[in-house]
Amino acid sequence: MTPLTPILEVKNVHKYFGGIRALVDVNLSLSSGELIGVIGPNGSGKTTLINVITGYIKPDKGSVFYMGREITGLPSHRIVSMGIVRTFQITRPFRELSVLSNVMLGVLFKEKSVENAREKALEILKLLNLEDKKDVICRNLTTPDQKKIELARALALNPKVLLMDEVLAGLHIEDAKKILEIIRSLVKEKNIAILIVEHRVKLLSNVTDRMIAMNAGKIISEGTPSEVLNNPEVVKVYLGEEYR
Amino acid sequence: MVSWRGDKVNYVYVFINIVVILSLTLNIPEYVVHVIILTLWYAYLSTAWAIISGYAGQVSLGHSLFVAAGSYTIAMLYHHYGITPILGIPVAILVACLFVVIIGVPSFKLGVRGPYFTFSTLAAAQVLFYLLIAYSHITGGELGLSLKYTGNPLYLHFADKRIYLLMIFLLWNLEIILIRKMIFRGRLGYYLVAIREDEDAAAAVGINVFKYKMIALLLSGILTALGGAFYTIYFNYVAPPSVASLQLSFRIATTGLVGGARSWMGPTMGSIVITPIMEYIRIRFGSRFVALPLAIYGFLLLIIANTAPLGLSRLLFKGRDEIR
Repeated sequence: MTPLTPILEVKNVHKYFGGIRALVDVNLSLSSGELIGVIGPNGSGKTTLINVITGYIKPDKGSVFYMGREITGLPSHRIVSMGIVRTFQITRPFRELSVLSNVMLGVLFKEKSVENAREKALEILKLLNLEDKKDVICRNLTTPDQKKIELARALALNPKVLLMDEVLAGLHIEDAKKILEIIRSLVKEKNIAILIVEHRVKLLSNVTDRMIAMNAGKIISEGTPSEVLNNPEVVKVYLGEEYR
Repeated sequence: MVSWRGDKVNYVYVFINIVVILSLTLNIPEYVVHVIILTLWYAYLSTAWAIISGYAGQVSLGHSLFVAAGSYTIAMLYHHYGITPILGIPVAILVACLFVVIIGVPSFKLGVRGPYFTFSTLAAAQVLFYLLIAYSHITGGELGLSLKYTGNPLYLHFADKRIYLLMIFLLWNLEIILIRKMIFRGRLGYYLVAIREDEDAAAAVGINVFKYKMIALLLSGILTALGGAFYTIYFNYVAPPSVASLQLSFRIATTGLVGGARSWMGPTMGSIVITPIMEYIRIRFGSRFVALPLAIYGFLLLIIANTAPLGLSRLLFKGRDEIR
């Protein structure tokens, strides 16, 4: 692999919620065109990590750098404007709005004209095979479709870094594979840096370049998927012995 | 496909325009003109209220604050300094902006939302209500200010009531045009409803939630204050119960909720239903049963909550006059 300069760097980040150590000395770097997977049991700090990077939570210690510039503690909308985009673990579409409007809201961020935004949103919906559902009100969609909408909305923002929180959870295997395919092509074609938090380890390991395993707020293993998945500690705390 | 939001005609809107234009040209009884003026006035106030409460989802129960800002500014400038309302209006707008900052900045910066925002608006309006009573040497206290009628058009004093009808009719139409242009055709509307649906997700698509809540409150507050200014111009009289009271705030909100706060025609439809009923009650019972209006608001909201939770406009237009 060619040496990459990181676009996103997390340095010595700590976060405590009362007495709970949500993140302990977390270090991470992510480069353009790289897809990394983050795994770990519930409560290991994966979502908190995304929240810290995207400005939803301020870390107690440590910093986040984006293209060499410190972004720690900036408001979320400013971080989005720089190109760091997230999706939520529990899907959060704008429930009373149509599928098209949801995606338009992503496009409108850079495109001031509503008419042009509508055109661009339709293109993105085509990419995700959601064209025929464009006028459906989001609250009436199934979970997999809501997940796709959230991905579409995130893509509409033209991210340079995309942080996805369990985008595959609850999806049928075929849907999950399709979404991963789209994600992988994005990394290749648009040179986006992607971090995926996911429990579906096997699916994930097929597409990621690098994996990180977390437990109790700490990174316990980092490396190629096979290195991480064979790490004894990862097996012990997360995967279970039968995984071997 | 018929698009009620786009360039196609909204029949209720056209109907109101025809009725008002006919009333302006025909010689109809003065009392009927008065009821139409009031209906348009409440429609206007409630339409302004819906910008922050319906589109942006930050429900205000203190909009009398902005009505009072407009009406009292005009009245006090005229009463104490003889300044014509025409010159008073820019000052009224500035006062409204000040109130927007006082309420909006702390609430929206500190993330006060939902019922907490509602109660802070209610509290702020009550504070102003009692201040208006307490500082009686400036405000006229509980009795308010009765303004001298000069008959001079430069002071916007007219003998023919229909001129006031024309005024509020134009004001209401300008408001509707402004809302359709800025909110329904621009991205502002999408941003506001995104904030209403989910603030965190709105921030995730790059929306500066604080900024757009402030813009919504500013638009809403200024338009409402202009409505307050009209009150003074029309009645030549202001008093806390009529322009600064809880009852007025409730009336504005009820009108919006009954008609549909997410639609641009909804609040007007609410006013068409509520204003004539309330006027009838006022004539029939006078000042007896002061709590009767409140009971009626409650009753109407009960019916609406059960049959058309998003208002009459949703029932009629199925969301086509909303941003969806």
